[in-house]
Amino acid sequence: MIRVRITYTKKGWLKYTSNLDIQKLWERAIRRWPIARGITPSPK
Amino acid sequence: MLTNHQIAERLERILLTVQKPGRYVGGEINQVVKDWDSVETRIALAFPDIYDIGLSNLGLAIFYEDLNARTDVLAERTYAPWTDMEAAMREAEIPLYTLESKHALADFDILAFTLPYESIYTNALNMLDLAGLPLFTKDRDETHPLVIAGGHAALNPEPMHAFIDAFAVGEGEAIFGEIVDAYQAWKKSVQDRPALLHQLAQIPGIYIPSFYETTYNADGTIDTFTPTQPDAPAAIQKRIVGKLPPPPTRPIVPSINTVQNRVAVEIMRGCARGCRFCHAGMVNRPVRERPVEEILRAITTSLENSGFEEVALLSLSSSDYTHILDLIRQISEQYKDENLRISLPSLRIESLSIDLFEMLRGQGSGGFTLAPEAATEHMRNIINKPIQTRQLLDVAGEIYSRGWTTIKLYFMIGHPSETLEDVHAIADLCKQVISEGRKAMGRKSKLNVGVSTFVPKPHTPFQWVSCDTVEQMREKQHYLRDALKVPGIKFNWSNPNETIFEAMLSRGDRRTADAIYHAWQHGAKFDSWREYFNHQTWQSAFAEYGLTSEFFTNRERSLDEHLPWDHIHTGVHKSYLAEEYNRSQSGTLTTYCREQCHACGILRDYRDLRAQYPGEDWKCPEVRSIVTDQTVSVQVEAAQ
Repeated sequence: MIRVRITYTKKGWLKYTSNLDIQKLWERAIRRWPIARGITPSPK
Repeated sequence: MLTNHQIAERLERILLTVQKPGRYVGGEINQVVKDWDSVETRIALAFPDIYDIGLSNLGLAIFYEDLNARTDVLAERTYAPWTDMEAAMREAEIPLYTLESKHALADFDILAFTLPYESIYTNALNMLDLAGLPLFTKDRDETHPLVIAGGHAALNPEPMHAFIDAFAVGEGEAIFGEIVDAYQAWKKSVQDRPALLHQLAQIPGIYIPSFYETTYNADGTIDTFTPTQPDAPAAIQKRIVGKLPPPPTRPIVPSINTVQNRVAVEIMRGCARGCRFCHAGMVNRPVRERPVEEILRAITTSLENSGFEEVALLSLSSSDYTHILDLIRQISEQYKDENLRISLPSLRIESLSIDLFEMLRGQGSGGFTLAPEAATEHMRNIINKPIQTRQLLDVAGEIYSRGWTTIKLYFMIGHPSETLEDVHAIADLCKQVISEGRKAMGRKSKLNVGVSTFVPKPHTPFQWVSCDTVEQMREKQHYLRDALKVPGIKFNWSNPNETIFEAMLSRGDRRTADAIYHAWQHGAKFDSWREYFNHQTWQSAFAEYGLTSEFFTNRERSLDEHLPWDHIHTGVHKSYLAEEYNRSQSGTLTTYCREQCHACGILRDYRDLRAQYPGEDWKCPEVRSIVTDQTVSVQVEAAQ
């Protein structure tokens, strides 16, 4: 199990995106990261 | 007109007052933003429904990638704003804009609408109005964007003829580039709008409605439909691609939750089954398949570019794809550690195999959808969907026993020659299916039954038949509602008024345009949304112009009647459709056309293209020799 703590700020047009949708964006962003292949990210 | 910066500033003032502001801001992963001033042609791709639905439209995704691949073009997206956003935009005097650069639609050279279904016509009008553009083509000139449209609904373009400058008939990949080239040539020549329309009319597959006129007989039927310009062709032949181009691989990743969040790869275009009611099956011929390697490459690249966790293998009948087992096996092996879900939205009962079930096992324990469409073999012969009841029950048993808890079954009522016994058989069959579920997994098994009402669509063998009346639909639905009050079964049905509305628009002629405009003026929009569909508004609009459902929907048409869409040629000839209609009346089946070519007309119209692309990609027989223009016979090899 790898734990990563990410701190982020919503700026620009992204401020209009809900927190749940941002969590989903993070999951997809991590999947696009080549070294994360096979990881199933689950934000808490 | 406001600049894009002014639009952005005004948006900041209203976005926090509307639901889901993420629909209106763009900025998604894989969006393309080009320098506005460095391109020659700017195109706005418009989907006349909300962002949540339009984002997953595959046609729009294809054009977005194709057009943006050109260095001289930029393509941006726009969707219909939901009613709260529309009100806020009107109050703040913000014109409709594109998500990428926030430029007003009026700043673009070309505004291209996708019209996949008829119930979004009023949304298209509303978008033109929100953009500050004249709604009628006659009121637009060279200072306005060229307004074009394509898509399945545009294969009967007449109801929208007054609002669209040019229709692209057929597959956009084959034609959009030529539209852009013609536009650029016209722009350099500094001519007026009619000159552009004349140049476009020379492109095969382009229909300029303002170049034609219709006369009517005393009984309301069409007498003549003729070109008013010497350079306008009498008929417009659908354009197709000989080989499916590589699929888009940079899907836009929405920043908000949309209806379908997944990579979509079209594995095959067209369907060879020949169901007589099916519009998509008839108008998308011929069948062309993509090679497995190309699909795998597209999936890999799209997943890397998006981070999606699901891939949909799209076609009209995915289990008919020649290499379906090999494809799913390879995808499953490649992504076995990555929880990738594979979705096959259209599966034929006849081509489902135990091997396919085994491969799909674990791909989701939710629903499995099957569409028998009719419950008796007599009716299935009429519609040419010959599934054996025993086969359907066996398949249902296999599905439940492999862990899927829910089966969705789709039926239609109102088929030609339907009797009440055919309707009763739907309820009986559903009870048999849920009983298979009970045997396999007990009370956990569920059955969702969707019963829609048949609308005779243009360009199909049933284009001449009449639609059920509202009273007939209600009687059948009432019976089914009572008969399907069974534990484990959930029954859904369509609103008869919505069915008649759909039929009026899909079978309409030029006179329907007045009613569409009238309905829009009186508040009609989002007509495909049950909460917004207003039967009274549409009834008044149709009545205002003397359009009755008795004439347009409940009237059997004779085979020699001039139909409103006769000038649009899809490649499947009217004589073949008539032959199929006659065969339906005697319940005679037409076999799967991969087994035997039935000479529907495709090979005659696209013989050169078939000869240019020999081999396995097309599922039509090979054309051995290209015959001269004077003769129309085509030599074909027997299908494998």
